[in-house]
Amino acid sequence: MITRSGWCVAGISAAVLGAGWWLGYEELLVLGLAGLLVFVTSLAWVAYRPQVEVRRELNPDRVTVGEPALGVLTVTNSGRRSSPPMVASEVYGNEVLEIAISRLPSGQSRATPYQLPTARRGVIQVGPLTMRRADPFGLVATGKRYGEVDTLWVHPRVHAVVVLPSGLSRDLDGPTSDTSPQGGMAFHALREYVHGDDLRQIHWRSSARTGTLMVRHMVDSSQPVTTVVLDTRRPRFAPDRFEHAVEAAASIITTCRRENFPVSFHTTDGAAFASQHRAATMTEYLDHLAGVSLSDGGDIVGLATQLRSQSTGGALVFLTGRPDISDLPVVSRLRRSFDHTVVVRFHDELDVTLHGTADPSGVPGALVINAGDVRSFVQSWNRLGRR
Amino acid sequence: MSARLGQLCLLIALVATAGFAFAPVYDESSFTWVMILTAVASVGLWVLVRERWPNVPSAAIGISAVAYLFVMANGVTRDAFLVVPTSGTVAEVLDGLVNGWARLLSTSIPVAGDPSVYVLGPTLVWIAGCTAAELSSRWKAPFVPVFPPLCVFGLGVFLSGAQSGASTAAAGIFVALALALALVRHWRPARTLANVGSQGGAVIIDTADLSERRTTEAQARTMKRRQLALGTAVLVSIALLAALLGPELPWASARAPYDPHDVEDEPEVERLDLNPLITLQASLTQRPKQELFTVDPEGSTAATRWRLDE
Repeated sequence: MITRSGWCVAGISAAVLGAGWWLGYEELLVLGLAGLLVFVTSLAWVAYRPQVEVRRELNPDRVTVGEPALGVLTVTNSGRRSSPPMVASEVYGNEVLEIAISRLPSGQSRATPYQLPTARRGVIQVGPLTMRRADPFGLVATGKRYGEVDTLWVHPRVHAVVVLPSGLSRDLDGPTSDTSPQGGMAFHALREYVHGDDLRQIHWRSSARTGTLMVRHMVDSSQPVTTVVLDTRRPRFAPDRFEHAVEAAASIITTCRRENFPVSFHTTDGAAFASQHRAATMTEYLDHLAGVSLSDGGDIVGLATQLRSQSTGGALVFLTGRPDISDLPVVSRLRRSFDHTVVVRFHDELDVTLHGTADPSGVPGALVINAGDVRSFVQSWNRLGRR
Repeated sequence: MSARLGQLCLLIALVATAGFAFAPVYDESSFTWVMILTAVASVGLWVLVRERWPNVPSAAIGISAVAYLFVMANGVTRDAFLVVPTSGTVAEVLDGLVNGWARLLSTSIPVAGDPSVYVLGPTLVWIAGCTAAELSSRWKAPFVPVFPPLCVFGLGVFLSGAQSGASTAAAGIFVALALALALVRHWRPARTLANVGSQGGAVIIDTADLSERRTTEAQARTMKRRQLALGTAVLVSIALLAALLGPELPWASARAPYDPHDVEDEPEVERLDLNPLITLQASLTQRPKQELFTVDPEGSTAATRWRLDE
């Protein structure tokens, strides 16, 4: 394929050559002839199309922001001649990475590692890949596309925070529900056996009556749920402050899951991610957080109504940006449905002056952490947790 | 860094070579140095100022304009060094830009001793240098910065007119420099495992033999260097071929070189009398270095006296 530069060079060269002939100037003839010679050489340069197969591996496919991640291209030359040097153009999110693939003898394969940029959080699509051959002047390029697409999850950084004392259990057996964490001593219901259930919980009498295996659904009603709400409304956050809020959410969730405490995670744009009765979900949470982004809309009132109807107590952590007077009544109402409410605000001191209310730092009945960045949040949070 | 420095040097050389298309137009001893100084100052200053203040294009325009006047005052309008431009310099430059075209086209070349005509060439080279530097920083396409110097080169050849063919060597050098610039601009270092180290992160690869990967990495690095070397060989060959074959093309000599100086009318002289000496005087004024006659005193008698009246 002739590039735009190629068409320009060919066109201008032809024009200069024509002008040189028309005006009788030898210098223009030299320039025009040189341009056409370059163009023809470039066409000849990429005439041979090698037969290669390409396979990509991401190593690892999940990393934290700033950690190294490698892509490994394994190129196999299935043709009868050596493959010429090529450039693999890899689509990486919104950018294109170029990886040099050197000459490869017939029938051989070679793995070429390359670095993937991980400076920014996100769920990044890696691929499709194009094996490209171009002349040294960029006038002509040919390429074969390999459509396989992999995903690289760049997780937010996780900081060491303590588990917040998240409320009291009202009853030893407590209110039970289908979503209460399993493994406790409180009987909730009988249900059909599913793969992975503890065989000791099989209820043989019911199984005999129904003809299918039935198990006792035992729940742990004493474990308090930590509900994390991340504000994703764009006007609430100054540039770069949102990343601090995401890292704070990741830190709280990771700590809770590490201690086997149930967590539910919500964002103000309506997306919810709750997993209270499954064991290994820390990666799933981080995957979800890797894809969280600011949105123009957001219904915090609707979210508050939903949380109040589903609430079984525990702690509520509301991560937001600039303080705003319109959020105060919503958070105040939510506070009554939870044993503890913590509001974490990521903003500058200047923001408080500009957007603040009469008492911007106070939410009645809730603990408020005003933090400029995630480090100051960690210090304040850990101080709060150790009280 | 080395690639950027290489680009800058090539761009300066290309702009200076474009200026040498004016060589048949001007008969001045300082022509070579003025063109080199113009190319270095225009491109170098523009790049430096744009890097220092990337969001203030007016700074580059202002500083470049002052430097332009300084070069004009020292190299073009005065045959001296370290002359500070004055209002007289500005007036001379303006006069050259406005009226120099007509004077250049109405006289036979080479032109000498007229600063107002001499201003044109370096000014065009200066504009080409600044434009090429700006295009080079804004566009990734390899050949984009070649376009302004190419236009100036073409204009220089056009103004040379009947002297066409005198700059064929310059055209060959121009081709070589243009291709070298495109080659360097299109060349990018390969993304390899070696780049990971710059982030300071330790990398553990557990899926293949590390020594094999290091070999692959070295091959990938050398691959681009080989392509650069091969591209250099290609560009030198093309420049030589074009310079040798261009004038020898079958239809190259089909037309006589077009001379724009034929079109422009001779300067009008009020003919108050029909004395042919006035016409002769005008012709001699335009060619001050023309040899008129030779006197051989040998063989003459001692009593012979010579007198030259003006």
